Amino acid sequence: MQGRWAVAEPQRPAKGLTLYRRIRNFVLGSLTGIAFLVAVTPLLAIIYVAYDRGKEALSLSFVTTMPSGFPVGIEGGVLNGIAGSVILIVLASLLSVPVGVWAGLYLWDQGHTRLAGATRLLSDLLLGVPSVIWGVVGYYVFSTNTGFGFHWGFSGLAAGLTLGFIMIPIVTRVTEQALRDVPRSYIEGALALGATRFQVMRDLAIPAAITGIGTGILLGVLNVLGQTAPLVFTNYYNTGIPHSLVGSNGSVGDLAMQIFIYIHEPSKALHVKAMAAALVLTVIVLLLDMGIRLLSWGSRRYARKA
Amino acid sequence: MAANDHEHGDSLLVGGEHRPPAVAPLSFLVPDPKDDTSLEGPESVARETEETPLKSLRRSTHAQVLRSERLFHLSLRLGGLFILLLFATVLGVSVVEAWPSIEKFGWSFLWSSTWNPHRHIFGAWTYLVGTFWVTGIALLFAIPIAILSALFLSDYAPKWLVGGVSTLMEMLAGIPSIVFGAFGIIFVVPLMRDHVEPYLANTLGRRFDFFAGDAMGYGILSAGLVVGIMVIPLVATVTRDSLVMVPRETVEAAYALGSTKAEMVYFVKLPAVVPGIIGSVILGFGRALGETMAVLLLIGNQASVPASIQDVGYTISSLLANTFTYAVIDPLFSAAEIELGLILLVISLVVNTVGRELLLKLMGGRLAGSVGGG
Amino acid sequence: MEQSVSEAVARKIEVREFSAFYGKTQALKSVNFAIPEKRITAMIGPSGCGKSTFLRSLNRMNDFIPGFRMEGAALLDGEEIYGPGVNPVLLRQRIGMVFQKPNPFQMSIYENVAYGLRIQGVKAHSLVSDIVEKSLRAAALWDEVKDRLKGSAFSLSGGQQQRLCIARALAVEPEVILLDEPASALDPISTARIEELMQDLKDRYTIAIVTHNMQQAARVSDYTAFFLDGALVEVGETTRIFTNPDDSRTEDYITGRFG
Repeated sequence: MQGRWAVAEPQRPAKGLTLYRRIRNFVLGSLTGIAFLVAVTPLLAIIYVAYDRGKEALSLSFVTTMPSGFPVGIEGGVLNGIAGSVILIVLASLLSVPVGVWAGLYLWDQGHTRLAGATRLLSDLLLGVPSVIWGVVGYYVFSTNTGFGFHWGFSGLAAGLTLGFIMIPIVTRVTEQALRDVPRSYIEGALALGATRFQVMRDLAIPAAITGIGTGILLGVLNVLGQTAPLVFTNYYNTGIPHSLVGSNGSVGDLAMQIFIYIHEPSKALHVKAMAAALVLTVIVLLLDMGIRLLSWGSRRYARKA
Repeated sequence: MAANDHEHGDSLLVGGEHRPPAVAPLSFLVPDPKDDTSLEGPESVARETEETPLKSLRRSTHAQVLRSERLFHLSLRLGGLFILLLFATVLGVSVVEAWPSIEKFGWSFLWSSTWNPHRHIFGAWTYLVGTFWVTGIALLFAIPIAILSALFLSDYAPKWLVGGVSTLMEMLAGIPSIVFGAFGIIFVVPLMRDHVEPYLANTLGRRFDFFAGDAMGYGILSAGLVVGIMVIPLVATVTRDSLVMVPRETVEAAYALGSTKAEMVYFVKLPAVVPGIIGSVILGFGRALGETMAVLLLIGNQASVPASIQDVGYTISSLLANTFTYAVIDPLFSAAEIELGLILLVISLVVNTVGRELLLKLMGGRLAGSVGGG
Repeated sequence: MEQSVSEAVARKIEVREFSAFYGKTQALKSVNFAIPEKRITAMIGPSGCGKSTFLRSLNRMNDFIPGFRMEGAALLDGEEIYGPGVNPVLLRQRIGMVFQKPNPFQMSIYENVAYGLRIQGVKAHSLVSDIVEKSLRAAALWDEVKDRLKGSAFSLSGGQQQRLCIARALAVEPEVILLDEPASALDPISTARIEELMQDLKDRYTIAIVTHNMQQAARVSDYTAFFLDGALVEVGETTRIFTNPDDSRTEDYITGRFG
C-alpha cells in the first residue's frame, strides 16, 4: 500500500479479494472469537471450580447450620456468614439509602448551582476510592478506641456503616440519573400549573423514578455484598451470631470474610467449605444481578407503554 | 395610529372566521419604554377579575408556599452537604493519620525501600513497585483480550448470541473479588506451580533472569493474572459500549468503499473509539490498582522488590489489609501504612476521574460506577 | 369601528426592553410588547427566532434552564414578573401554559385535572369535582370522558390529551394562558377543535399562542407579533399583519420567502 502516485498500471485483483485481504479478514474475525472465549472461560471456570471443589459440602444444611468442629468451620455450614451479610447489608442500606437518595434529590433539584457541581464531582470521586481506604476510614471513624470517632470496636455496626459509606455515592448517582430520566415535559407540565418543586418531586418525579431508584439501591447492595477488605478493618469475623452489634462482642459473620478465613487455612476440609461458600456467594450475587436486570427491563417496557 | 381598513379575501384569511378586535393602535401594543405613565394608564380599567373560592384560597397560601419552598431547598442542600462531609472525612482521616509519617520522612518516603517497623524506618518503594507489577501484568494480559472481546460483542458475534453473551459478560463482572482469590488459590496457584512457571523457567528463564524462578505458584504473576481475569469484563464492557456508539453511517461509508469487515473495524471503527478504549483501560487500571483480597491471597506477601515475574511481593492494598490491624499499635507504623494508602487514594482518584471524563465526553452521560477493591 | 382603546382592551402583560440570554447567546433583543387582555395574541417567526423563549419567559419557565438570564422588565397587570418578591410558583398559578406535546400525568383523567387544585391545598371534594367538570366542559372534553374519568389519561387520543392539558391548565383558574405550539403534534381535526376552543376561551382568558403555522395564526388570533432573530420585527392586528405589513421582512415571511 504505497502512498505514491502510481505511474505503472495499478495492479488490480482479477476477481474478488486478494488472498492477503481475505486471510486478514478471517484472522481478525477469529481472533475476536478466541479472545472472547479466553475472556469468558476463566470466569465460567470460577463457577465450575467452586462447584466442583465445594460440592462435597453443598447441601441445604450448609446454608442453614452454624459452623462447628475444630478448627471451627470444619463441620457445619455458613449460617453465621449469611446472617452477618444480611445484617451488614441492612445496616449499610439504612445509612446509604436515605442519605444517597437525599443527595440525589439535591443534585436533581439544584443541579446547576456551583455547590451542586462540586457535590457531584466529589460524589463521583468517592466512587473511585479503593476499598482498603474505606476500611481505614471506617476504622478511624467507627472502630478505633482512641482519639475521635465512635469507639464501637470491631463490630457489625462499624462494618455496616462503612459499607454504607461505600454505597452512598452509588445510590446518589443512580437516584439523580433516574430523576433526570423523568421526561422534562412531564415536570414542566406540573410547574406550569403552579406546583412547587417539592410538589413536583413528591407527586411526579419520585413516582416516575421509583424503579430507577430501587434499581440503584440494589446496585449499591450488589457492589458491597462481596466487599471483604473494609471488614478486615472494622469487623473481622464471628463464628456465631452476636447479640449486640457494638463493642468487643459485636462482630458479625460475613460470607466473604468467611471464604477469606477458610481459604487462608492450610486445611483441605476448610478449602472445600470455602469453595462451597464461594459458590453460595456467587449465586446470590448473580441472582441479585439478574433481578436488577429484570427490574430495569420491566420498567423500560413500562415507560415505553406510557 | 388608527388601524387601516383591510380588504378581506386574502388567501391566508380565507375560511377563518376572523373577528376584528377592538382597534388598538401600534403605540399600545409596543409601549414606549421611557413612558412610565403607561404603567398606570388606561389598562387598569379592565382589571377587576371575578372572585372565586380558589382565588381567595390562593392568596392565603402565599406566605405558606414561600416558606415551605425555602425550607425544602435548604433541607435538600443538607443531603448534598453530607457528600461533601463524607469526602472531607475520607481525605481528612487519611491525611491526619498519615501525618506523622509524612512529617518524618518527607518526599524520600516515596523512593526509600527500607521498611523496618523495629527501627522505625519506612519507605514506600517496595510496595509501589509491587503494586505496579501486579497492575501491569494484569493489564498486559487483560487489554488485548478485552478489546478483542469487545469487538466480538459489537461486530462479530451472531445477532442471536449478542444479547446473551453481553449480559453474561456484564454479570461475570460482578463476581466478588474474594471468590477470584479463592479460585486463584485452589486452581491458579497449582497450575502455575506445576506447569506454567517451571516451563517459563526452563525456556525464557534460561536466557532472562526476569522469567526465572523457583516456581512457587504464589507471586506477582499469579496475582497479576487473576486480577487481569477480573478486569477483563469491565474493560470489555466499557469498550463495547463505546464501539456501538460509532454511527452506522461511518460504518456504511467504509463498506461502501469496498472494505472488508476487518478493514472497516481496523481502519475506521477502532480509530473512532480511541478515547473510549483509553478511558476503559484507565478504569480497568483503577480497578486493578485497588484490588485487595485476591492479591492478598496470591501475591505471597513478602516485602521485597520483585526481580523476576515469578517472585513474591506485596502491594499497597494487600499490605494494609494484611498488617494494618497490628500496625495501629505503633503510631508511626500505622502512619506509614496510611501514607501508602494516601498515595493509593490519590492515584485512584486521578485515574478514575480521567477515565470517567474521557468516557463521559464520548458517551455524553451515563456511566455506572464500580467500586474497585473488594 | 373606531373605539377608544381604554374602554376595550387593557395591557394584561407588558414587556419593556426585554432581553434574554442562554449563557452567552442572546435569545431575545430588547423586546417591547404588550399582550392585550382577553384577546388572542399570536407569535410567529422562523424557528429559533425567540418566540418560544419569549413565551416561556412570561411565566418564568426559563428559570430552570441553566445559564438563563434576562434584562429589562416584564409586567403582569403592572407588577414585575421578575420582581424580587415574586414567587414564580404563584405567578404560574396566574399564567398557565400548554405545551407543544401533550404531557398528561400518569394519573387518571380526573386526577390530571384535579392536580392543580390539590397542590393548592383544595381538599373539599365537591369543590374539586365541580371545578374538574367545569374545566373539562370548558375544554370541550367533558362529553367524551365523563364516563371514564377514572381511566388513565394515556388512554386518550393525542388531541384529547391536549385538550385534557388545556382543561388541567383551566382548572387552576389562570388569568393568562400561554400556548406553545399546542397543535403542532396533532392531526387537522384535533387542531380545528383546539382552535375552536381558543375562540370560546378568549372571552374569559388572555391567550398568547406561539405557532409555526401562519394560517393558524391568521385564523385564530386578534393580534400577531412577528419575531426574527430574537427581535420583535412587527406587531399589530392580525388582519393588518397578514395583508399589509409595514416591514418588508414580515411580508417576506408571511408570503413564504423564508422560514
